[in-house]
Amino acid sequence: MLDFLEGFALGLTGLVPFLHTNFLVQFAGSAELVFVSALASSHLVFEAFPTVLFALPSVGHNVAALPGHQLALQGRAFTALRAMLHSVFFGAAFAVAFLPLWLVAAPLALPLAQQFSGYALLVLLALFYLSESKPLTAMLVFLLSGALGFLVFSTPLLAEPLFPLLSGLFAVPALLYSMGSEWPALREGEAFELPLLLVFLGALLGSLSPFLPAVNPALLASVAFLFLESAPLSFLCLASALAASKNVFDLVSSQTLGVARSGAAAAIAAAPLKDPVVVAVASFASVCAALAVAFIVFKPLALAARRVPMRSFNAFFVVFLAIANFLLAGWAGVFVLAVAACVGVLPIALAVRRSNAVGCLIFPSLAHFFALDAVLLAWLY
Amino acid sequence: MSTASPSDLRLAALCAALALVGMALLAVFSRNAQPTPVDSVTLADEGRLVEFVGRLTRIQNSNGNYFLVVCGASCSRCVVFKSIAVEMNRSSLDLSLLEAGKSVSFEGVVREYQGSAEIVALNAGAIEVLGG
Repeated sequence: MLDFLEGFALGLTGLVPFLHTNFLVQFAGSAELVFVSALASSHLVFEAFPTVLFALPSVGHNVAALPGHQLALQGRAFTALRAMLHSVFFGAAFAVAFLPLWLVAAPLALPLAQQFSGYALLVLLALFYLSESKPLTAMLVFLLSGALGFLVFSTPLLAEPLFPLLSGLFAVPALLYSMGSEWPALREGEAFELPLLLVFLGALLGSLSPFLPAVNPALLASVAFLFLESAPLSFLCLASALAASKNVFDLVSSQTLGVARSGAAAAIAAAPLKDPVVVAVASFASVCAALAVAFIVFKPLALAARRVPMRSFNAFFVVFLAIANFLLAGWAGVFVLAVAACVGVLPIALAVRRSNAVGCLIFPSLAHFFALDAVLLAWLY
Repeated sequence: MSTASPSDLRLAALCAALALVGMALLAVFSRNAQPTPVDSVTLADEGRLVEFVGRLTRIQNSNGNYFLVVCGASCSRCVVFKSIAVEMNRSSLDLSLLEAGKSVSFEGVVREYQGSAEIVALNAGAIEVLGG
């Protein structure tokens, strides 16, 4: 019980941007299953706050930073947070419900998924660009962000390229472009209906995480974002359910399959006593406890953030991002942040969908699937 | 989506140019990165370009991807993905002929896979056979 409470309490640090779960599990000592599961799960819930209020991408809620912050700028921060918190609950609940079937069916489906995932991705991209009003301009943004993503993921520039890349592509342009604005009036009582089908789909996608090393959840969320950019609330629901489900499946698969697809899962993968049931129960209980706290504090936190004038607020976070990336990755991190910000401004200035910038995740994955990475690296080196 | 104004287009052109220059510089930085000789690799080395020297104790071909275990002061898992392996077989070293027991130098970037560190070859010149 004490392990659970300690893990849960440490998970509150999800409120602090860039305080990564991988860093926190170092305090696990003997990597107690309950402590790590509770920590990872409550951290995931509290990460939703900086994502929506400050447009800062986290590990769990990566691409969601953009639509989340867009909603906050429309005065819909409460709705965005409520949508994310509800979706995290149902995503985790669906994940726990899927578990028995997943343990049987997933290994059978794996070869098919590995064989065809690249082609499926290409078809989805083709459909997306057929629906784009300026396909050539949009593709330019996709290719530029793709080239940047390939560079930072394939070469020895950064140990953790995701933070500077996504912060630069999504957070910095969002913060800069909203700097002249004022906080809009808050829509407190906005009606909101949870799209359960999308939440279910998100939970299903999250269940693929342990099996597809080249197709990470950020990529799955990115593909969904291509089609759901115009419906930010729907995207947030799908992405949050995906993150919650991935968290459960990563932790459980570290106990059953020996597969560790996250820092938390890796921390308990080597534990001498394996217990997937304890891990699943601790994870779900921690999500529920964290949601109980989050539902109490989300309004006061959102209101507190609004007390700071938006200009100061945004300027502070642009500087904060630069410092955080410097601390995480040195000057290389700041440089990648700046280059990514230049690419991230393009879709706004060229009036195409910002989701085109997810090329940074999709292009490297396609290059790997179709064995283009060797050609590109041979040309580079 | 609305139409971009002339000032937006100028800003876009400037940002695209800066991004291209930035990416070119990043490419140069990564190209000039020198591998660090290491005795062992851990997750703390993730992202570093390293050179690991040791005896090849195991080599396995799985769908064209090669998985090697190289043991020096410690053992490390090294990976040559299919696309690089094809290029390697064509240009420098036929991996199908490489046998356990050889002394090799393996150069690559440290990546995390399933909670462990492994060295991933970046190019066709990643493996050098030092002797039998």
